[in-house]
Amino acid sequence: MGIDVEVLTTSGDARECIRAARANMREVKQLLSQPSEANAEECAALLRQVEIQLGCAVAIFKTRGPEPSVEIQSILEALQGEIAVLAQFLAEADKLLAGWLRAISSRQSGYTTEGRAAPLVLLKKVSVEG
Amino acid sequence: MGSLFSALNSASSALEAFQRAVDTTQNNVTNANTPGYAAQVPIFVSQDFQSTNGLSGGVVEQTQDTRNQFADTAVQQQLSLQGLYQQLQSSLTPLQNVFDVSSSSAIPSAFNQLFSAFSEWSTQPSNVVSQTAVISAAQQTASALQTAASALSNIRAATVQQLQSTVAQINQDIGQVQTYNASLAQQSGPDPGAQAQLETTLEDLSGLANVQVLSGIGGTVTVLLGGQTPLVIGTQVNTLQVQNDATNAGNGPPNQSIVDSNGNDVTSQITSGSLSGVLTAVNDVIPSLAGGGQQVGGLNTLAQGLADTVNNLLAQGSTTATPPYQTGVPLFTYTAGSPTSVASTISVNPAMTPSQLAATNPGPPPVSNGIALQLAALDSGTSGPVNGLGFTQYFGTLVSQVGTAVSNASNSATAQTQLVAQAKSLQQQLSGVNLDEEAVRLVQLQSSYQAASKVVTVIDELTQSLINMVQ
Repeated sequence: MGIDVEVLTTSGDARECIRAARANMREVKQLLSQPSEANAEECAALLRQVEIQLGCAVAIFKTRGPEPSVEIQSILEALQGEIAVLAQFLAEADKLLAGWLRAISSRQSGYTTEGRAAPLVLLKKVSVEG
Repeated sequence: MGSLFSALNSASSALEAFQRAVDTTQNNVTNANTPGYAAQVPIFVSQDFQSTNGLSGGVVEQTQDTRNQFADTAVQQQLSLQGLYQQLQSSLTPLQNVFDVSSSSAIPSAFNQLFSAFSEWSTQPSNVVSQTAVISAAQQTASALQTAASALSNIRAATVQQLQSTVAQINQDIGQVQTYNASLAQQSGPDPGAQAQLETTLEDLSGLANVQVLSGIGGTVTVLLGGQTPLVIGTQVNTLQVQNDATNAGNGPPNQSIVDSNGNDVTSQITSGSLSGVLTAVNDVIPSLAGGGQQVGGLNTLAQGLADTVNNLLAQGSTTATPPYQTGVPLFTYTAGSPTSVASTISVNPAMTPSQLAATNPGPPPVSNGIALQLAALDSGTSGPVNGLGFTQYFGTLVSQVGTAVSNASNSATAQTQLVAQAKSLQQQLSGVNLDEEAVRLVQLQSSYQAASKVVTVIDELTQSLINMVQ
C-alpha cells in the first residue's frame, strides 16, 4: 500500500494513532453486527484507515525509537484480539456467502452436468426509450 | 338457471379464496415476531372445468411456506458452531481461577517461598529457624497443589453435570420433534404455528449438537446426529445418554461418552454444538491438566516432578556435616502408583523434623550446604526437572495453555455470534426477494468482505510489530 507517512512521522503522536485505530476497530465491530452492503463497504474503508493509522505508528516508532509502554501494549493486545475475531468472522462469512451464492445459482440456473451449481449469469437491464 | 348458479358458485369460491388469503396475511402480521415463523404466501389456482355440474373455472387458495431449506440449514450450522464455542468458553473460564499467576495464594507464590526458604537454609544449614521455614514453605506448596487439584476436581464434576443436562435437553427436543411428526397425521393441511414451534426446537437442537434436518414424506421431519445416527424418524426416537468411557480408562476419572438407545457409542459423531464443547472440556482439556482417561495431567506431572526431585536430592545428602553421614529423609509424600492423583495427595512427610533435612553433600569432596544449594537452584537452572523446564516455568506453560484455550474459545464465540446474526438476517431477507438482486447483493457483500480480509492480514502484522516495539 502506498501510504505517505512523511508528515506524520515528524509531528504525529504514535499513541494517538493507536488509540484512533482501536476506536475505528470498535466501529467496524459495531457495523458488522448489522450486515448490509453499505456497512460492509464502510468497514473496508475503516479498515484501510486502521491500516494507515497503525502504519503511521510504526513509522513514528521507527523514527524516534521504541517507547515501552504498558498502557499502549495493553491497547495493542486488545486490538490483536479484535483482529483475530474479525479475521475469523470474515473467513467464515466468506464461506457462508459462497454457500448462499451456490444455492441461488442452482435455483436460478440449475446444475452443470457434473452436478455443481451452474454459474450465475447476472444480465444488465437495458432500457430503450424514444 | 344453470348458468346463474354456476356463476354464483364461481363467485362464492373466489370470495372464500380471497377471504383465506386475507386470513393468511393477517396471520403473517400477527406472527411477525414469533420465533421460527416463516411467512405464508397465498397462491391462487384455477379450478378445472367440471362439465357434469356446470361449474366453469373459479379459484381456490393454497398457502406456500416461504421457508428456505438452505437458509434454515445455514442458520442451524452457524448456531451449532456458536453453541460449541460458547460452551467451551463457559466450561474453560473457571480453569483460569485455578491457573492464576497473579493471586498471592497461587502455586507460583508458593514455589517462590519454597525456593527462597531453600536459599536461606543453604546459608545456615544447621539453623533450626531456617530448617523450620523450609518445612513450612513445603507445606504451603503441597497445600497450594492440593487446593488446585481439588478445584479442578470440582470443575470436572460441574462439567459432567453440564454434560448430562445438555443430553437431557437434546432428548427433550427430539421428543418435541417426534410429537410434531405424530401430529401431522391428524392434520389436513400445514399448521404454520406448529411449524414455527418446530423451527424454534430445531434451532435449539442445532445449538446443542451437529444435527442434520431432512424433510420427509408428508412433511415429517427426520433428524440425524452427525449425518449418521437417526435421532428422530417419523414417530420413532433414538434418545442419547451419558456413560463412562470404558474403552479409554486409565487410573484417573474416566472419560465420558455418549451412547444412543441401542448402546452404540456416537461420541465421535459429535463435532459441534454445546455437547461437543462440553465433551472437549471434560475429555480433553480438564484431563490434560488434572489427569483422567489416559492422561496424567499437567498438575500431577508438576507435583510429582517437585516431590521426586526434592526427595531424591535429600536422599543423596546427609543430616550431619561430618562422618558418620546420616541419610536424609524424604520431604514430600504422595500416593504411589496413582499418577493421576499426585497433586491431590501430595503433602509434607508427617514424620519429618527440622533436623532430618539433609543439607550436606557427602561428596567427595563433602560440602556442608551442597544439597541445600542444589535445592535452591532447582527452579532457576537452564535444564529444569519437569520436561526440561523449571517448576515455575512449567506452571507458566499450563497457565498459557488454559489462557490460549479460553481466549480462542472467546474469540471464536464472538465471531460466531456475528455469523449467526448474518445467517439469520439472510434467512429473513431471502423470502420474497428477487433472486437476481439477492445474488448481486451477496456478490457485493462478498467482495467487500474479501477486501476487508486482505487489509486485516496487514493490520495484524502491523499490530504485532507495534507490540514488539512497545514491550
